[in-house]
Amino acid sequence: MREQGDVTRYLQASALLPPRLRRQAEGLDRASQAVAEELRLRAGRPLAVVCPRGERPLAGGEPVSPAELEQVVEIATRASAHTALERMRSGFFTVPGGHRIGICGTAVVKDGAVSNLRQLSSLAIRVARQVPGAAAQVADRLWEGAAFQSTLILSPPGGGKTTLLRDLIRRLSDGVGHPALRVGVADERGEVAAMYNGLPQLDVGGQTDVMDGCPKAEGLMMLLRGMNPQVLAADEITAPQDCAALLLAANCGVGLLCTAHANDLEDLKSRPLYRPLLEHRCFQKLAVLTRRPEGRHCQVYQL
Amino acid sequence: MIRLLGALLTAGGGAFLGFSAAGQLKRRARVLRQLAGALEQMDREIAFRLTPMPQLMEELAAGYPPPVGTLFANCRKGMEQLGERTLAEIWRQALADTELDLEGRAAAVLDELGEVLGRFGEDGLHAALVRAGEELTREGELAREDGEKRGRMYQVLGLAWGALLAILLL
Repeated sequence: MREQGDVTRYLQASALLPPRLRRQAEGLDRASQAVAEELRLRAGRPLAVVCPRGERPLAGGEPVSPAELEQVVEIATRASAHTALERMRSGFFTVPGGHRIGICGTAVVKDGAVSNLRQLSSLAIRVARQVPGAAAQVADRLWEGAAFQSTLILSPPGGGKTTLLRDLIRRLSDGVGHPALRVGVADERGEVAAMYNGLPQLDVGGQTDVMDGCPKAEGLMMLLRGMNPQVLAADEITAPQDCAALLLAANCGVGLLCTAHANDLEDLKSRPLYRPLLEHRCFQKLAVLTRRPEGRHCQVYQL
Repeated sequence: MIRLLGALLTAGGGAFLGFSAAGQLKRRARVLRQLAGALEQMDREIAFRLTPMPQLMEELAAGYPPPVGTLFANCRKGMEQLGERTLAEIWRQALADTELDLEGRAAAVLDELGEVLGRFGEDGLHAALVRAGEELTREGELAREDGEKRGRMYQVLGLAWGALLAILLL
């Protein structure tokens, strides 16, 4: 059942390709379709698929042409590239189904900022996969009695932070194993809920309010002021403004659930950006994700 | 009596041909004016509301009378095949399927627009739409002037030709 869902999601992502490349992607064996993480298109190179074991070109294909890269954007935006431009400027955009298209090309710079991308050179279609139950082993350890403990999830890039965060949000919001909480998500990059036309494309629970496409710091403050959340969630805390907003939220008594790029607590402590959050004890729990040969592993620590 | 009736019909037929040729010129000017207006609306919608292209096509199809509204309706219908065909192909097909009765520069401007729609960012699209709108307005103005000059001529010629035939027949 789960494999069928994964294959369906892969085929959904393949549908973003022009006919010739789509046929090629659909020709991939079913087992690989179920685990494929990304489809990679580079001008002048054959279409490639990224699986847990690495990247490999798909058999029997002519090199991808620049026109085909443009066509992917046209299909993905339903011929409305102007609606996705703001996100394209940040390097990627999200499409229905929650799939993410990373975009690379020649930047057009205006007034010192990237205003557009022309002459696309490569695209990475990341297949959106939600893993209901990904947080099952961890969720209970983030509670002390009836109180949810603010938690920071750590891992290196590609470690599964967003997947864990999404499933934790869903569990908190739906009240799985504990009383349900109102969760506000500042989904700046659209990766957590993958909103499309006001609807989350990935399950983030029934009591979740999502502010997407908005810088995290502003999004967090808007949620705090307007939506009266019991928990605020944000993916990838990377800027001092994000930390300032989280400090303010923590002082208002709101629980926090965030992720950050770091290998472990020592790595986190070595970065000045996170010091205020640690010094003010904004987080009580630390969930550290690691990749092991047998799969991903999550260890929870008290801070 | 029959000869008189035949003469009247001949004169009326000539006049009809003249008036219909003049009407065609007027229609071309009107279509060009409406097309320029539609492109201006498209530009505004994209700039201020970031309206997605399918929705934009629906709004323009509903907002303009045939054949301009039909062009956008045909394009919207064709967009169901996006993924199998590019928007440029769909747009060209819609142009071919719609009786706009345009030729020369005006037809070329609309044809070229297909390469830009949906592909560029706001600025590029804005520039292309403004340029196309200006060209269509200019063509519309030329068509209007042409219609005034040649239209009157066609009307007079139609009437005169019909009258001449009638005199010859009588």
